[in-house]
Amino acid sequence: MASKYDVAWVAKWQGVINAQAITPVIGKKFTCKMLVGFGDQEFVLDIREGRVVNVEQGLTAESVFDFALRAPVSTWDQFTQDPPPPYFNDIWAMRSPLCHPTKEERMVVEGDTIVVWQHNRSIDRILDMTRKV
Amino acid sequence: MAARQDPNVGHYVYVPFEGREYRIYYEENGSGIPLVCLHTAGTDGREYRHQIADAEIAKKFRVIAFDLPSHGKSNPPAGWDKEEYILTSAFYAGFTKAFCEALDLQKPVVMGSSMGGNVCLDLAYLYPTTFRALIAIEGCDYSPGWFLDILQDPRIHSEVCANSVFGLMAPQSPWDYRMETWWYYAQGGPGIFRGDLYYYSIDHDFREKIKKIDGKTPIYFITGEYDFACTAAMSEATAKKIPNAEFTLMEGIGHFPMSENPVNFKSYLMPVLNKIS
Repeated sequence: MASKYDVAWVAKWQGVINAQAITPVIGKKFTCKMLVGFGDQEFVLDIREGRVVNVEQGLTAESVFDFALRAPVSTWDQFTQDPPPPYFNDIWAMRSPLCHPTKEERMVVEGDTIVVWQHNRSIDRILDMTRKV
Repeated sequence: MAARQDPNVGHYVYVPFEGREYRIYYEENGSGIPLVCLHTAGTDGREYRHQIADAEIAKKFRVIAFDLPSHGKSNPPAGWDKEEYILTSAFYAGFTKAFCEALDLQKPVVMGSSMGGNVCLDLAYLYPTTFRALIAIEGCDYSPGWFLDILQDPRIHSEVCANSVFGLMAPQSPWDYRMETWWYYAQGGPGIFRGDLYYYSIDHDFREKIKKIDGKTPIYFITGEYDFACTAAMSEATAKKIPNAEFTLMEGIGHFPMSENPVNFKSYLMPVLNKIS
């Protein structure tokens, strides 16, 4: 079943992110490749100094990313509500087995999680911007 | 013209405990029943600035919030740089009682949040006749999963402590208050949040001992619906296991109700305080 998280939606999200400074200082240090998985749809956001410079749809044999945030479409639908309901408002909430006992709605955070922790504030801010798309 | 001021007044008291003397900072306002406020892991008593300054609460309660050793304005003990900071149940419960004794408080109420909520179980179990009542905010008998080495990692800026808890607050809570809470966490001493979380997720396990809490001290569990560290279900299940305990769900609020949304929090706190007074 098609979801709203297609190429056009991600392009709009990219536009929202690039229209503003993520944070005054450390957002400018936000450089990484972040995979966001909306169900079966995967996008690698190439982020340089707080701006999304390129979006790659789908993975190929040459795809490189630092970390991935994957969740079912239904979980992202909850997250992108304004305001999001309890346990769907934050990546650590969405990946928590206490709040999401089954894998069917739980977020998976994988890859180099050090990068996630290093840029947690910037990641949170750009994910919050999905509610402005 | 003199500028306006908060009524909160700060002091230092020397608390003897286990062979050491700790110089402890606390703030207070009000008169009446002592209401001792315990801050959450990794931060300090600033979390309670609104409740301390509240004129309505101050009419019946002497509201006191202290900083544990190595938190806020309470310095760590000498030799701290040669030790790994780890908070244990025995220290936390014992020190809380020692602080109350240092101020000669008679039958105080203890109100704690998060790890401060959890230690209410220790206080009820160890000292069943010492406290008038216990208010366990975001507390439960077992809260696993938070003892994280990442919170003291040289590769990561110390604001990781603040970022790790930001999502525990409800999106409905005012942004400025959420960022103020974030600020407190960003200012914690190195390794302190991690060390406190040893108590919170490892040493604190009341799943069996809870049967031994005799109910002499009433315990009020109040938990925010956005809390994913101690969910409302966890608090409610804990309350059901203890005689003379009750549970209240706080809607539209998260893990730091007293600082992230003091107005919303007060609507839930006042009925509890009115029962106690």
